[in-house]
Amino acid sequence: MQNNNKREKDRKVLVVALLGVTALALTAAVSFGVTTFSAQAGGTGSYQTGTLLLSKTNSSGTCLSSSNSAGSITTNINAACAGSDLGSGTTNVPQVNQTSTVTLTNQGSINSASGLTLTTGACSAVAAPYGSSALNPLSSGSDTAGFCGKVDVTIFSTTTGKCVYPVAAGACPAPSSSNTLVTLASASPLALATSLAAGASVGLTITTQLDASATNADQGLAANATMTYTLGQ
Amino acid sequence: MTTNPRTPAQRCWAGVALGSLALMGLLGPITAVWGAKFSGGLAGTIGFQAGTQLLSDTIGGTNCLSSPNTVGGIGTNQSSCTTYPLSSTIGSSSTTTLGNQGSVAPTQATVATGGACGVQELVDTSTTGTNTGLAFGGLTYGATGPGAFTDAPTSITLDGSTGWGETLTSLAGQANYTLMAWIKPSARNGVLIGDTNVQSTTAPTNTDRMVWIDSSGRLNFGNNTTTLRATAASALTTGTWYFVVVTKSTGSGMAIYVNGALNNSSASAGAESTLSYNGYWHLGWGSAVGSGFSNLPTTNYFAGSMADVAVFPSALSAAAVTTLYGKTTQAAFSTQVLADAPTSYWPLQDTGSALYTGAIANLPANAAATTYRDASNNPGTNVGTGQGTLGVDASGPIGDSATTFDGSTGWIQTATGPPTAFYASPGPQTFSLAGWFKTTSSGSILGFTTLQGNGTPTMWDRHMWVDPSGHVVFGVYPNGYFEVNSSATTAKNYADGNWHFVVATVAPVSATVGTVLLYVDGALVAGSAGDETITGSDPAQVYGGWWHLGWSNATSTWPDPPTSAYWGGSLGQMAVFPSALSGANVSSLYGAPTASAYLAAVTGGVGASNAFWPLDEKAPPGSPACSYIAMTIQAAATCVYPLEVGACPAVPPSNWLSVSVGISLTLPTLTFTTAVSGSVPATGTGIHVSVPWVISDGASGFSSRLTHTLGYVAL
Repeated sequence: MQNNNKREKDRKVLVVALLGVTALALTAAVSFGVTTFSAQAGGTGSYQTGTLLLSKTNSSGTCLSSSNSAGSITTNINAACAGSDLGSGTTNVPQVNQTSTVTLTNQGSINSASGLTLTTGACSAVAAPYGSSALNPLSSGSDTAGFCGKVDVTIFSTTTGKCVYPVAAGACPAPSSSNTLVTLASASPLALATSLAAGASVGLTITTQLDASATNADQGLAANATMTYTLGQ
Repeated sequence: MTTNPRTPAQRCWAGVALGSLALMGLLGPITAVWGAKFSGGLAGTIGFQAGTQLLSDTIGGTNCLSSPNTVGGIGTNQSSCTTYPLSSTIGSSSTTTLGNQGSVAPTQATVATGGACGVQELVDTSTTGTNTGLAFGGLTYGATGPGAFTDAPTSITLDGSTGWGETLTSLAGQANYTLMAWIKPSARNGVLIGDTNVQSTTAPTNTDRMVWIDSSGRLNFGNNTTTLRATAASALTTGTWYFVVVTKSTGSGMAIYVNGALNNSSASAGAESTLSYNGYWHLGWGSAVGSGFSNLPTTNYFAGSMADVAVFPSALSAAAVTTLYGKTTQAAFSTQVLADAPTSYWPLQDTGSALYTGAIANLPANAAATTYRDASNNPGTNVGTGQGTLGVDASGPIGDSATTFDGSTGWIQTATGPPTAFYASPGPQTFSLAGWFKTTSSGSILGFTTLQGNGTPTMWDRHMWVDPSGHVVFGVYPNGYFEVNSSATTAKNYADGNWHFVVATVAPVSATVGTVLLYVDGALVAGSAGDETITGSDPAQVYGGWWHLGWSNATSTWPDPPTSAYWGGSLGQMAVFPSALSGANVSSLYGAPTASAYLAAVTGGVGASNAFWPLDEKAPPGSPACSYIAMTIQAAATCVYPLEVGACPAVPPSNWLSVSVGISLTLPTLTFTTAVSGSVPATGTGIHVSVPWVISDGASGFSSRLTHTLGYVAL
């Protein structure tokens, strides 16, 4: 009885594998959609793979990890989410913080047992001139090398009530030079949730502030980094 | 037998992974892992942008921006503007329009002097002595220097009608000497260098040792009774640089060199001496017109550019002149000049930013009378006039300066009395007095008497003083002495050398009862509602009179009088209200953190004052010339210097060029108006009085700044 069951499982797995290879051959990408098959032992059955999809909502709108059309899930990473999670505007000055709200939702059909993480890539700074000056549309500061280290950042989970970055049991500390876009990039992936049920969300409040050490040389600069949210099965 | 440790399921997944790898060879690398899982991800490049703080000002159509107009250019965010907010003509105004060119709205703007006020100087770099030159009239800096030099020399430019350089040291005339200059005339006229026995362009009694250009363009050199004229062939043309040297020697006579070569000479003049007098060198000016020399110009003023003027105590040799002319850089030329040991050498590479703050003969510091403005808007004409010894306390209350009183002679007489309403009989009956005081002794803060002066009046009350115990006392005389004394609630000695804020309020409650209250430092310390018995609804004595600041007649007949009728200490922000302020009003006044906030309060915020004397008039600048120039600054609808509501008054005589004021929130148009304070000696006419100006703004850590150093006011 045990051996038969094991063979049955093996056969199902094998079919799934073959179907997967076939799908790869046809689409040149791993695709998990609705797939049905017939069982060899005992009547007619069906098998459907689940989906694991992540969405992010910020002030610019909602972005989904998949383009959400049938058969299009491949790497299941959308690398072109619009809007900044670090706030907006061209009027940021030292020691005045701003917050932005980010909501991450498991839009798939299956629960995530391994949870949700955030990885931040290296920060780079560029001149981002304020363009409305009648006299000097190209004015930006010269501190491109040091600017990323002067953007203080904290990330608070409104779902858990804990500070995610820096990790703290409760509220985040005030933004400071101890936690900047530079230190965030070198941090281990941040665990935003250890698991995330289908349909469940994680809310984040990201606070940014131009550090008190910023000078005129930091005026008009923009810091850019890639933030990757990953939801595992 | 080799055992495969993987389960069949794992082996199947491995097959999938390998198959995927095989296919993915076309797709680029992927990472295959055992137990592959579903995953979803989101990524995006996010950004954070800092704001910008940029300040511009526009003067006469010329813009100046706090940052250079290049990417990455913002560092100190400070620019040096080629424009100047002050008009160069005394008695006129100049308007500067400030603009915020950045993305961040500034929270404050400040207009301030950026350094000492002084007179622009033409530096004497000789090593034998300093004979500083001063700029006068139409003299400007920074024109291109002698074309023979390759290291970007500069020169001064004279307008041919008002500009010249005056020197400070009176020197004895010498029989042997050399005069030298690089010139680029713009007119065939005027004097290059000349000596007279007086400073300035006033007619001298003695003139000698002079070089000029006549109407034919020929150079002339005058010494004693001789005029040596350059050849007709060497007539100068305008717009060309020439190196001019003249020498006088008791041995070889007079000589003119042009561009390093001897042009003309007169050996017979060697026997001549120079006139015997002590005189001053004038650069670009000489008393030629009407003199006894020949081939005279029609104007004494040189027109054109000039550099490297020098006087040597001997006749340079022809070789020495040739050597000088052969130099190809300003640096090498200057070195050679100094090697030839001049008495004075003015390279005229000046920029106008070097200021002379020392004494100037015949131009003593201005001793203008001290006037203390009435900054109230009712209508602000109750001006105070200083009497006796008064001074400036730079550490006044609420960030402003204050006036010091010597305790024995100094007090301030006010202008308005009867028959003006409120001052005419019965005098103020509902009123409040407010002000800041600082003292370590007993004396009078203010008083109201029937006399404008501080003689013995026929009636006197409404007096405020500090008694010998340091208690604050206020008294009125409703047919009897009535005093409120801080000792009623506190034993505190307020004569402790610190600033304190006092308010007294008086108002009738009924025909027979009045209320007199005394507040110190925002708290009610004496008096209560209906505490005063009065007659005829008059809580104070019935008479018309004048306010006196720093003096009262309380030493005469009043209980618990002050030790002195005068005030020994400082007073500031004194206001008289035609109403009884409430306790909340008093708190508001006491809490006003700045002079501008206090001004807003006393001109309507808590009540419209009848008179308001800030007593923040400034001390005259250290430079004598600067003590003749007063000014106002109008910022949009507010006068920020002196600080007043609405339009600035006619320039008060003690509002010197030394200014530092803050302008809140908005960037206005500033109008600077200058005026002469006092009577300027002729010596000072046209002198370039200059002070660096800084206009800055800031917002939460960012700042921008514009400095102006090159301008001047011709006194």
